[in-house]
Amino acid sequence: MRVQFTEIELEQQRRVKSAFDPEWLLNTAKVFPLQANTPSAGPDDLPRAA
Amino acid sequence: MIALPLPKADVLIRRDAVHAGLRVLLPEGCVITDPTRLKPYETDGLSAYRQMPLAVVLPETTEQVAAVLRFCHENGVRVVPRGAGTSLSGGALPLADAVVIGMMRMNQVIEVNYRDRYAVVRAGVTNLGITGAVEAEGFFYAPDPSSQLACMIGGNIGMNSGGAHCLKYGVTANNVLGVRLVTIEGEILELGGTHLDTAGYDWLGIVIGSEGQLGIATEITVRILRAPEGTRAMLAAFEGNEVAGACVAAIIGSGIIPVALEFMDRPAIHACEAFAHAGYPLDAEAMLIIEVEGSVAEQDWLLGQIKEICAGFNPISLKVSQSAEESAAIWKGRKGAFGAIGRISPDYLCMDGVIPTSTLPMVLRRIGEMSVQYGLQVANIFHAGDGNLHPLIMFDANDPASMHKAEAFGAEILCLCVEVGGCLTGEHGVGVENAI
Repeated sequence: MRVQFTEIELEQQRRVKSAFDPEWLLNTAKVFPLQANTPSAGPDDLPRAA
Repeated sequence: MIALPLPKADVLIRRDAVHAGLRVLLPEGCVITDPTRLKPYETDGLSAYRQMPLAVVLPETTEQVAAVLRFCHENGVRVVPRGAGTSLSGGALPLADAVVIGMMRMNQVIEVNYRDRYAVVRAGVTNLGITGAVEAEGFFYAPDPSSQLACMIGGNIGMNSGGAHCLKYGVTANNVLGVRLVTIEGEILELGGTHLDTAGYDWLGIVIGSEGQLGIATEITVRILRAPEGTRAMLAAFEGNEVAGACVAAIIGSGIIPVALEFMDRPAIHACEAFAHAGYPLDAEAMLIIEVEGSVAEQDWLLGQIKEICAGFNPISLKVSQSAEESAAIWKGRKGAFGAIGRISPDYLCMDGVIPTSTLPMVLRRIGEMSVQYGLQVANIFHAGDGNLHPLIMFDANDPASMHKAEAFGAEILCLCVEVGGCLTGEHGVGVENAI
């Protein structure tokens, strides 16, 4: 995934994941590199879905 | 080597409480916690990697899936969705602290609507089971992964699965109209509908191919298509991989879209012929299976065009199937290819890269060079028409050095795919295999 996508692109995809699954419980440990396999935590992190 | 996160210690020590909590939510026999009965769930189609889960649940309804997800969410427990466990990228590989949600008991076809050409099925219906439910009326479900006898539509949604005939009909995303999705909070969402494209954002586009990371699909509305009047396959044999690759590029470049255009190299031809007895050309270095469909006149015209193009690449032989039985044997060899390789090598890694078809000759040459460099045999079997490569790297998992080399070889192939303008997964998904 790091060859295919830049860090920014990976981060955008992690935000989509976080919008659906804020605690990263669903099939975590897949798709993203291990180091990136945690909830997105930027200053403008998406609010949790209601 | 793939890396998995450390299990959550606070979940592992609550193992018994989690088991008890799940038993309250589901009927008798739907919660598996006994290690002997958990064993079959420790791996999937990427069987070099194994991990016993915390528990396996087998829900029978959407409401039960929602109840389990709500419980896991409230208790901070990880979840791994699973269909038939045929994932070639480790998509259903469990985690030690995770509950595996197996969808196989939700295997009912709910509705078939021929007038509007859709079917509503539960996630545990097999891919081929959908066609089975509608073929008597002359319809079929188009995407056809080689594992279609076993793999389930829910898993196809997760991986946006493809198959040999997707060259003409598109992949899962092009054939799904609606999805009932359960979120991790246990909310039940209806995405899409019963027709192509709905108002508003394309939620299906986000969910299909999301590898079970955004929610669990429990009911799926698929397009069903009228089966073609007839199909005919032909075999074209060539003296080398590169020239066969160039022929593929020429067929696609001419604007012809066969329903399938498959490539096999020498090791693959020999392995498949040994069990399928399909009349594959054993003297060839590379072979193409080209299938066309339609009325007899349409088939004749298309095959004539394709033969003319093939003739420009100095073929060893061109053979058009003369009967339905002959065509079936040709496909039996191709669809059983992975199993056939299993007969000649203890283990193999199946890569799943995509490249622009025009770069096929160069990429095949580079893979050949890498095979020599790593000292590992490779069989090339793939959906050539859409540039979806499946190099099968043969190795011995009992020899750590051999496994390490196979992984490095595979990674180098995928880097090459990205380098030439392609991508690292065509239809199997990223899973754990390609995450790095």
